[in-house]
Amino acid sequence: MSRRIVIDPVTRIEGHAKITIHLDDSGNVAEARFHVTEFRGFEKFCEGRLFWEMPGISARICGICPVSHILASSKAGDHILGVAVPPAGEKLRRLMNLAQIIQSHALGFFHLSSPDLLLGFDSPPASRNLFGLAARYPDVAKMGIRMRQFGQEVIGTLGGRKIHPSWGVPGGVRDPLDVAERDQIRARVPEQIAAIQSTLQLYKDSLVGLDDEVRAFGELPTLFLALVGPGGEWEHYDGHLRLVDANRQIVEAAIDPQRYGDYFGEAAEPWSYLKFPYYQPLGYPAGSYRVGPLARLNVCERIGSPLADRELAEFRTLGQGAVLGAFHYHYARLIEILASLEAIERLLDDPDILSSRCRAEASVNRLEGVGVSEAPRGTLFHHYRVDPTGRLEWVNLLIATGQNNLAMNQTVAAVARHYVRGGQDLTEGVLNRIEASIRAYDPCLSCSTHAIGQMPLLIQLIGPDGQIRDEARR
Amino acid sequence: MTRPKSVLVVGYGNPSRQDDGAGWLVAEAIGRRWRQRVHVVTGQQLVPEWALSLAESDLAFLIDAEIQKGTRSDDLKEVVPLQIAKVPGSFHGEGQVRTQQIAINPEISSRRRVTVRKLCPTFNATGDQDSSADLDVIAQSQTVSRVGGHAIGPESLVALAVMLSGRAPETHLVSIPAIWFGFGDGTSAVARAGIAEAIDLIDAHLVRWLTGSLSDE
Repeated sequence: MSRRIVIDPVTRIEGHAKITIHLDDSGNVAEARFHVTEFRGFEKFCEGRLFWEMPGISARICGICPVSHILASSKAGDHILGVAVPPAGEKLRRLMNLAQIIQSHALGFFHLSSPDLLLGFDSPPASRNLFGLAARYPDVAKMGIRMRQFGQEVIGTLGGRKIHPSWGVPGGVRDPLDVAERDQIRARVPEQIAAIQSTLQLYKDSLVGLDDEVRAFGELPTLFLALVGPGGEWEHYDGHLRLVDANRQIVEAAIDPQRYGDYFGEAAEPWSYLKFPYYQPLGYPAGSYRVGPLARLNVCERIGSPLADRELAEFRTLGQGAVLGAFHYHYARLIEILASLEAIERLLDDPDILSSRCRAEASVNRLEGVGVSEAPRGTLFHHYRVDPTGRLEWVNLLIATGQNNLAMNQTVAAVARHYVRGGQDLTEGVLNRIEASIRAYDPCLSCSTHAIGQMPLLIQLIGPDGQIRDEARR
Repeated sequence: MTRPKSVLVVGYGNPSRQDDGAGWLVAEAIGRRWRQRVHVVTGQQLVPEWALSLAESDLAFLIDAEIQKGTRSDDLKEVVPLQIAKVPGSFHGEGQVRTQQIAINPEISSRRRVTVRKLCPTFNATGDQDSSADLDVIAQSQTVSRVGGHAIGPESLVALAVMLSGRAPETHLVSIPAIWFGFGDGTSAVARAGIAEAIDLIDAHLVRWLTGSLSDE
């Protein structure tokens, strides 16, 4: 008899979602869907506001990724002003973005996912969390907490506060960095580099017992999108967009971010508030592409720092061309923390970073602007049209998690097909693996639907007659 | 020579939601009064990162806003705006916001406004060389199990400090009665009275505690 499985709410993610698994007559998985069930509508209610306000307003989309929105919004504003941001302004923005990547990746890995990886997917759910990790591996938990704290303190130092800093503005940043602040940050970098190197080793060791999960999460032959620098190097703030295929062959070498709309479309499905971006030349849904840490490492030629490049070379041995397994988002996240720490060291050693000239002044010189940066979860687009006074007439936000939507649905289906067979009852461990396949992407649903909500999870098992046959809820 | 005693003052809540920011206001006021003697942190919610700061402290105050227990729905109905101002473009529907003038049930304002509760670590790892079983119990306890990853409750914060560092300081949860949770930064008369009372209570405790601790050094 056919059934449908529903996971609602999905836990340990940023936002509110459910998963439905549709079974065929023989009890095997016909299809699976990841539903995002919250909606806020920032794109609409921002109309009529001044573009100057957008870094502050759009930062409120999320308490985890406010810096990403501040930067993409400020960059869209730079384009409307028609200014070049002073070198110190750009470098300070880069510094904050790197700190954001560190704190967000540390949260995603240590707080949310490492309980599965280190305590086990089948460990008791009541202690499969940060506290369980602290009980069993206090040093690892402490390391993760200190790493996130480091990223947040850099953000707090630059922006005056850790959450929603009103610092990035069209034209640059409000305040410079002083010598004491620079030295304080610089002094903490070596400890963090040692910590992430130790974590990378721990992660590689833990993979030995996770072969089945790595395989189950699937190897999706999608495209990958990310910003790259002029020489194809890893980039997180500026540059051009590059798209590669599953073999790491370049599909689009250098898309001008201002023209992203010529290449990427957004589809909608009636069962989710999260849109489905796709690469237009391949159409929907064939144009599925992925963004985020895995994509950035697949797209770039090199990272450009010695320790991270060494890790990248080892990482690349996991794939024939691109590394395709969704499970390896975790690995890529850790390598990016290392890359970010090395990049912070370089930036802090650059004398420009202390310049007080960090903001260009101008008024409206263009009526349209696109700001693109790499958020921790992937490429983030803010696109505004304004009237001559700078009032917003139209807003489009293309969020990293949305761009992974097609792939997340495919990954859920792959994991469900691996573990749900013959209509057997769901075990807690299977439910957790299905959830974990979504957590690998570290989705931020608050950002991607610009939605408010908690992080619960519901899995529903649905028969071909549409009736719910089984349900599991957290 | 022993190290100076350190005091952590944590104010948390959402300062853009009126009374919910009461903890911030108290923490910042204590910071201004005691300057170098206390370490003040503020945030929208308690986060695991603060467990490390907590473990390094000798005395801590966690200051939050909460609807006072025992407050009847009728009490809240007494809190009404007396004056309405038109503000074009306001988010408060119909282009209106309420001012800070309220009518208040005298019964509410006559109650003790602030509650202070001493938080104890759920277990003590100090001197216990084989505490892993206890730690597992804590990890599964009702208090700490509802953890999404980046926000935790006050008891959980204390427990996490002990789990990570083997100790937690004398920690007080200071709860300030709150009744307004709308958009904005103005506080109700109830919260303002509670804020003043909380500052006095913490101030008095600090005087006693620091005087005692200074004599130990």
